Amino acid sequence: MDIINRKKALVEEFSPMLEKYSKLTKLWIAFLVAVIIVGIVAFVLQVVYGHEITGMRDNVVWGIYIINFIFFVGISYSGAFISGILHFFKTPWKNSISRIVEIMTVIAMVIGPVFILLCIGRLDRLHYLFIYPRIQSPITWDIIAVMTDLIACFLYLYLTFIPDLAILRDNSENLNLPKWQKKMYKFLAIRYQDTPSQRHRLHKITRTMSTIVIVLAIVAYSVLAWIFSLTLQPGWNSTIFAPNFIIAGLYSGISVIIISMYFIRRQFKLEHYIFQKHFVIAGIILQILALLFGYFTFTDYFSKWFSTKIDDTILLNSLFSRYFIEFILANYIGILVPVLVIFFKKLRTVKMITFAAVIALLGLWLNRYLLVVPSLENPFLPIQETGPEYIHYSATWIEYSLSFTGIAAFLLIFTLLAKFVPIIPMSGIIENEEFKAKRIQKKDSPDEFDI
Amino acid sequence: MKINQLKLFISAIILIVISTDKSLAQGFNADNYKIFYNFKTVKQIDNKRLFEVSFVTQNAEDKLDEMPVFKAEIKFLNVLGEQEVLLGSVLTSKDGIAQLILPENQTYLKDSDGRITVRAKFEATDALEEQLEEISFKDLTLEFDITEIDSVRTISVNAYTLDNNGESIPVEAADIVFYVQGMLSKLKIEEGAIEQGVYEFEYVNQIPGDDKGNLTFYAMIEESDDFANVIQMKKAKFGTIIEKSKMDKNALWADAAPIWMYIVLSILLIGVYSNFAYSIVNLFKIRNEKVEPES
Repeated sequence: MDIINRKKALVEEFSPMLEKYSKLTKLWIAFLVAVIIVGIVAFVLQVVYGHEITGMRDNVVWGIYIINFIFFVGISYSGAFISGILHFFKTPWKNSISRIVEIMTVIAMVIGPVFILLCIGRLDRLHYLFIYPRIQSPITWDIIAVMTDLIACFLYLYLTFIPDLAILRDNSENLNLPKWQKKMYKFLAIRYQDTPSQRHRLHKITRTMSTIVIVLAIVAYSVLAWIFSLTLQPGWNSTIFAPNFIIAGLYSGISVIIISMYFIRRQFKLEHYIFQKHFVIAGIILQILALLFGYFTFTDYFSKWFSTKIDDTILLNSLFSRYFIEFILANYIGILVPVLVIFFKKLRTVKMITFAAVIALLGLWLNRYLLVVPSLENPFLPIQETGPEYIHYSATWIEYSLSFTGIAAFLLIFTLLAKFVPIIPMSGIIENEEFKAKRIQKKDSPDEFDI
Repeated sequence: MKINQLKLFISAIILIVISTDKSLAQGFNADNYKIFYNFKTVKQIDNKRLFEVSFVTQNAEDKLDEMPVFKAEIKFLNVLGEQEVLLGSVLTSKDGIAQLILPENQTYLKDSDGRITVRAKFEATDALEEQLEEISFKDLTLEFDITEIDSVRTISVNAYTLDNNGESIPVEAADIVFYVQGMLSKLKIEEGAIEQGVYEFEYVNQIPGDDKGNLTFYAMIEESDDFANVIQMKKAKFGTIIEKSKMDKNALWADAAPIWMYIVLSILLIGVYSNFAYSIVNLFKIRNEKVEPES
């Protein structure tokens, strides 16, 4: 197998992804930038006028910002977890989705914590968290965990990029790319020539890092859950929160992976790399996680209902009255649709699995909403002489705008990164082909999922 | 046919219920009830004297069926020979209790031995017969003293009666019991007999007191033939002070984090960041590896 020519061929094959910005892509980027600009305006207004212009008040001090934080960080942790598992166990079909997962992990980890900053009323005192950290506080644990995980994810993403950056460095002379991009390939490829010793060394540290990333994902998301569950707030004080958060994070993560696979496959015409089989496998994982998530959610609510503690009873009453529709959408539709779609073989099409993933994702966001807002609306000590806006939370356009900005930023960075490196790892394709060639030589049948 | 059977069944049930329900049973008939009429007197800790009558009836067949006699007029009479002096008249309460409390300086008719006889009389009504109970006692004064000298804790009583001239006469013999007040009941700590008007003992018990170490002691002469009931009370700091149990507070709420937290967190972070450093070192090794360019 002529590896040099194969690398050139692959760069040529993926060059349209890197070179061309179609009109649709430009429009897409412009739209995302416009959303972000509106968000920046909203942010400036929030800084100037304070949290008064948001829906957050004395009772409900956390609104959709914290929900977005949990949501994005959950996606990131689950991405790290899934990616780590794929690498660690050398999953044969990992190559088609590993880069999507890795990129998703890092971007979500960059965007998620920004939302926590938006929750802080006095940003000028943000540095106090670092100057006067209280090591007993789960908030401090979370800061440490998020920062450590962010470094780990960046490092891990970079390690997986290196072989492709080297291929692009060596084969991008004829590509119509800006000079800075080519210089970046050269700089970031760190003289990697894919020699056996370099490859061995890189594989070794990538594999170690994948283990670290899995552990960090579990630890960090548990810490995030403890921010809630270590308080005595009705609805939060639950021992099951940490594993529930991990399952919920994996559930949202696999949903985002499926949705990303669908759009990337469609946009870049990667049907010969991302098969229906990949969707079915991801769909089955989605179904298992839906069942697990449903089980954890049911257990949590059931124990609250059965204990008949007055505060939990009040909370559950509000979930079954004021938030009834959201409760049904989050905990019934958001769980049952993915389970049923994958259950029926006829429904296991790419579109239907993607649809199930979208429903799961929306359901999970609503679940996080129901976790945060109704709990804060039912405090132990009711505040007096206040208007209804203090008692019940409803997000303002500022919060929605900044939330959509987060989503837009996620999509924009994803789009731009997909223009920087191929979304399907070229080095992985070559490795698989080498592996396949060796097996053919040994007269073995090729693996079904090798691409 | 089935309907008739049902009617019969329901009627039987109703009959059973009616016949077993006491509320619908025949009205009160004193013949079916035993009468308990008890009279006692207690000289209280403030030296006031209590006269108390308990007037209760009990069903002869069902001993659990007790019925206090309510609003029965009890007359308390001080008797000496043919002389009768009405001390007071009290109606029984819902519990069948009639209490009369007389001050310390109350004067009584006494016989030559200094005995006082008091009669508690319930005059007959249409439903109940006359009831009469009489008690005779000497008016005993009990001085209760608690001292601590050179760490020796002594509890003593001085018991005497007064003759007609007001001279004190030490009590020759009387049983006395000492108690310490517990949370729900009294704990007996000493039992003995007063001789020549005095009883004394050393307190050596280790009984927990309140948060300041206080104990409440009682000296009691109970149902004595000569002195009836006499009670005296005194407080003393003889209790073992039990320090308030300090609740183990959540260490994470303390000002400083527990040491294990620093150790565990440091080990975890050192492990993770060492791995980062290891990866970066290896990246430099990859970068610095001398390789021939692919040809």
